[in-house]
Amino acid sequence: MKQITGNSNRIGIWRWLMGGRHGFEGYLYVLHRISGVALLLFLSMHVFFTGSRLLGQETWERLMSMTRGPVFVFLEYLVYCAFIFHAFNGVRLILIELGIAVGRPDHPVFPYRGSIHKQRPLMIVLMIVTGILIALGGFDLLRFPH
Amino acid sequence: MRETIYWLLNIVCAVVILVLLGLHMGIMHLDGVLAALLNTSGHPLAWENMLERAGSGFFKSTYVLLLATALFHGFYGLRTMLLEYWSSPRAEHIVTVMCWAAGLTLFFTGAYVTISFGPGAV
Amino acid sequence: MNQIKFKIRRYSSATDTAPYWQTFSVETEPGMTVLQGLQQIRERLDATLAWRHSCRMGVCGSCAMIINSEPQLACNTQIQNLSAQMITLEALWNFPVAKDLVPDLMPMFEKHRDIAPYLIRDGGDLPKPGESELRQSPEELNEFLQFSSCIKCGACMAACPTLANDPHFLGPMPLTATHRYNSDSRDTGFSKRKEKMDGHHSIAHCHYAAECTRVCPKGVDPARAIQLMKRDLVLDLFHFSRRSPAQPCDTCATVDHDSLKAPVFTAREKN
Ligand code: SF4
Ligand code: FES
Repeated sequence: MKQITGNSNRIGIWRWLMGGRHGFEGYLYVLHRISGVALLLFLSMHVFFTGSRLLGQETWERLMSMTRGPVFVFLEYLVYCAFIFHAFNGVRLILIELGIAVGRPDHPVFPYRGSIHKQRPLMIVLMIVTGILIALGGFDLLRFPH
Repeated sequence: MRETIYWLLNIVCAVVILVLLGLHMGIMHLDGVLAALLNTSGHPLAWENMLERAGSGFFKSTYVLLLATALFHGFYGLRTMLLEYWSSPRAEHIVTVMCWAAGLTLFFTGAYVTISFGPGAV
Repeated sequence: MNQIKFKIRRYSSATDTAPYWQTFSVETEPGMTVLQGLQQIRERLDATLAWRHSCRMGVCGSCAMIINSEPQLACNTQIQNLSAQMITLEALWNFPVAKDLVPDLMPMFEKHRDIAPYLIRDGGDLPKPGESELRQSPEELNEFLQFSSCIKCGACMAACPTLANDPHFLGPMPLTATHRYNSDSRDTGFSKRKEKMDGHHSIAHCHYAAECTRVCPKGVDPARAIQLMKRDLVLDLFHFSRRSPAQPCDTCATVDHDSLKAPVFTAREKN
């Protein structure tokens, strides 16, 4: 058959953001990727920052005092949020991707209740824990002058 | 079975990170709680406390393990995403090599810092 | 009678350089489907509007399109239920557009063909009908029954965020078909399909956004099939096989088929 060219109609990264009305899991997928990239960036910086200790106590302490500014502390809080979300959503993904939390094949009878419903309680519990920990971290940030 | 092995390693790394980073976060950032519980003193980022940790073989080895697993997990994820954008066989090769190179560079930098730093080193 | 606007993304691969939007006004009544709305447009307003349909009852899988940013079957979607004054229609995402609402599904069918979507028996010992048969218990049937109700409509392919970026990704439909045959107790083709499952652009790129499962009009649950397939791959990696293939059962064939048919005929005669 002749291959049709012209408009490929692939919606690309637009799909991640607002192409279509995602289900909740669809948004978690996007957040998991964004938080993952953020954490990788942080990890790379972290390695070099902590490496500064090789240059001696003075350099180390100068750098550490730099990280106590409000902007830095806020960025750190964002990293914390990304980590908490990535960790708890990750627990769900591990269970799902090993075929544990998706349930056994079922008869497709309308209204369909598939794997999304099977993993949903787990998702809700984990997201509540995530929310609580993120809030606690926020309080901690406000309470202690770093 | 290369992709399956990469993917499975990625999951194993995730579990290791979950445990070790939980510890790491606890020690470094929940210092208020820990201080109350264990009666330790001082900020974990203070020079002396850092020296103390750096002298311990336990901290050294867990840090190196954490570094390795976190980097593998991170760069595997990055590679997965990049390969969705550049999906030609050539791009596959280039992206894979670049991810390994960046990951190994960071690993050796971090491992060198962790291992060579200690009470007698500076 | 209610007036509803149909905003349609039009494009012809033969004549247009870029897609454009066109709005039609449709008179609707309760019970009317999006497909019937399209038919009204073609009859009364614009005979050049193109889309694809056949069964009009959610069985053939021809009429999947993007309805208000959601991949759905036009014949299975009631205008009333959309509760919108404007309905936007596009050809399925992630496929080339042939004309207007007609996507070119060939990329999907080519991937489907590549995963060997048929029963494979080592040594080719599929029994001949009437001589013997491969026995399958209801439990074994349940392992793949859900995944075999796919109508190849492509809605899942349009919803998949991985496929939205990587055109070579196999996608939910072909991967579900892979698992459907892998998990059939009569099939021994797992190792033949392994190369496809293990490669780039395959299941390692699925991270359970579950969009395919959410939009599937037949409740096939492709996301579940893919995760179960991952588990099978892990088990296979460590040389645990989950099941032994069904063996031909000669005694089954000795059943007298005429005696089985007899009661059915007598029942009919009575009526
Ligand atoms: S799995 Fe569902 S959405 Fe995908 S092609 Fe089959 S019937 Fe359509
Ligand atoms: S026309 Fe057959 S599924 Fe809609």
